[in-house]
Amino acid sequence: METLSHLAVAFGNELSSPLSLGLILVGVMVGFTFGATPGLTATMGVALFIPLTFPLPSDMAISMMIALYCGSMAGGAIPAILINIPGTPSAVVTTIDGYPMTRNGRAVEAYGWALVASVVGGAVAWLALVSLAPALARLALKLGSAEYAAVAFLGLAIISSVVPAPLVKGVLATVIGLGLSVVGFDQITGQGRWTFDSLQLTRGIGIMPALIGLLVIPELMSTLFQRGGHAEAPKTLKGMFPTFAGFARQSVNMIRSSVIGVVTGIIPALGGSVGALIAYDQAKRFSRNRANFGKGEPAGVVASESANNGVTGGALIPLLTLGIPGDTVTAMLLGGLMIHGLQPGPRLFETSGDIVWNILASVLLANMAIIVVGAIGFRFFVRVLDVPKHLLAPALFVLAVVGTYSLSNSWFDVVIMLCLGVFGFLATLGSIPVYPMVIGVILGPLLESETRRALVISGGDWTTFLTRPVSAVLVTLAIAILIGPSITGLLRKRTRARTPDA
Amino acid sequence: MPQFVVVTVIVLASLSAINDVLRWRGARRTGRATEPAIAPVRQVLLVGGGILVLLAAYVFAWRPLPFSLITFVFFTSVSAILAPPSVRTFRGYAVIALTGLLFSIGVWLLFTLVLKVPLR
Repeated sequence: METLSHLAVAFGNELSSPLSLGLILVGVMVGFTFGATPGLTATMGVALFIPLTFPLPSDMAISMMIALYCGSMAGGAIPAILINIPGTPSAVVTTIDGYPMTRNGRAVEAYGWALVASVVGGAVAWLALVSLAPALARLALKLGSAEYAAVAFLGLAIISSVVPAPLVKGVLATVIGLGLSVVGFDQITGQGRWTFDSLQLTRGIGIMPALIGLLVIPELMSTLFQRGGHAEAPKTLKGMFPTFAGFARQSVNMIRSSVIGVVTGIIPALGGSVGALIAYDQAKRFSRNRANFGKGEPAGVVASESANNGVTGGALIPLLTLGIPGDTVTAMLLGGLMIHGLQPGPRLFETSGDIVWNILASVLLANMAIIVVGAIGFRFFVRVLDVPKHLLAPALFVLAVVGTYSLSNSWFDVVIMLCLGVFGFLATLGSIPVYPMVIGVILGPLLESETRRALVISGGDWTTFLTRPVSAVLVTLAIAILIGPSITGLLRKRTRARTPDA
Repeated sequence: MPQFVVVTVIVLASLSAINDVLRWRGARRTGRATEPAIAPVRQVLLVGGGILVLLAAYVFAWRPLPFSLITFVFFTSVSAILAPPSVRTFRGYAVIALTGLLFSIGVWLLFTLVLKVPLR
């Protein structure tokens, strides 16, 4: 009851202030632009906007940054759906069904689903944020290294199996991604690995150079040589939003994926990609159109986007209640909160309650703004499909290069991106999927460090992953995902061989 | 971890190659070979290789040359290579040059003035 009265006052404050509403709208618009442009990241957007918020009251400043964060997550779906290039790492899963929908002439429908799913994901996350935040954050802190390692293993098993390629190639790509994540200093012993005596390689391979190199360059190169080229721009934006019946059919998928997103968002360091992957896998498992996944199934887009935006709200829970940032964007937000005189942690609600409730109200308003900005913005972004291929491709090459350079003003990152781009293109020619490589780079450090930490704690006993209930369930699930389809396929073959033709 | 990665990649790459050969032989035997989704290998290697060489040259020309100039050169060269025969006219090349000019200046302005990225 107390929460409701705090929220009522906070919504009153936010809605009665045109400046506050305007800043949320600007935050979402800037976030959309950063999310929709490959090479520009949410982290970069928040970092750039922190200095601009100095003159603003702290609640408005933080609200604007959070709006930018939410907007960038939703904006990442636009290039993922239109040109098969995810704008953010977490939009990688959206490409699996989003782009095939575009190629089937259903770009508008795909984006409509992405937008609605984003808003539902954001709303579910907001509910968790205002109602369960402290309890959930304390629970997440109880997870040990074995559970973290098991979640990372599950994420890798899912991406190996969901890509439209034979399982052996999916696993091969994932292991190559893990190999790329090995480069640099060993997190525990501090020894250099695969650094080839290069000082720059000791920092390791960054996620964004790997993402741009492995996804943007091979995709651009492939589209140049594809028969038929890119999809055509839709003639009309009619039918963008789903009908009530369609919405009702996807509602379970949306809620389930949002909850998965919130839970993965709460656990620090997992990030949007894992949430989207688990949600996608679950959507496929429960769907009647299982065979259509990967070929343009709206449920795939819905699962990925609900989870993505669920993660944003989920990541705010440990940030606000424990002062723990889950990823680079929330680390930036933590800096922003501190610059504005707020100390995130268990006493935040006691010391700065009014400001925090205003921020929480603005999170929901930012999610509402996503639908307005997304629906209007798509009219402009969709025009990218009208640009002739010979003008679009060089522009995207330049943006990939400049975007990589701007991450840390490092020319070496550009060289890494280029090398991975060439490697990714060659892998694509050999029908080896590149998405698992990116997820391998993202989850590799988490898997390795947590596995080794768990083994140190258990005195080198590998059964620790099977004796702890949560990690045991997750590891079993991952193994089932990897070997399950082969076993059922074999059994089906045997049954067919035994049954004589009618 | 590094040893695990090397061994696993070798094993999986071998399995994948055997799998590909078996599938290819199976498809050839049953006559169900599908048309490749991309252009002929010769074209992919020539044009793709050319573009990758240009991209590498663009990246390596960053430090000694002004950003707008090399971006303009890269944009127009790649665009000219990719342009379909119908665009290969004086007007088509003029459009490519003008777009390249506007794009390179626009990107330079955005990144240096707005995003404060130090480009030359």
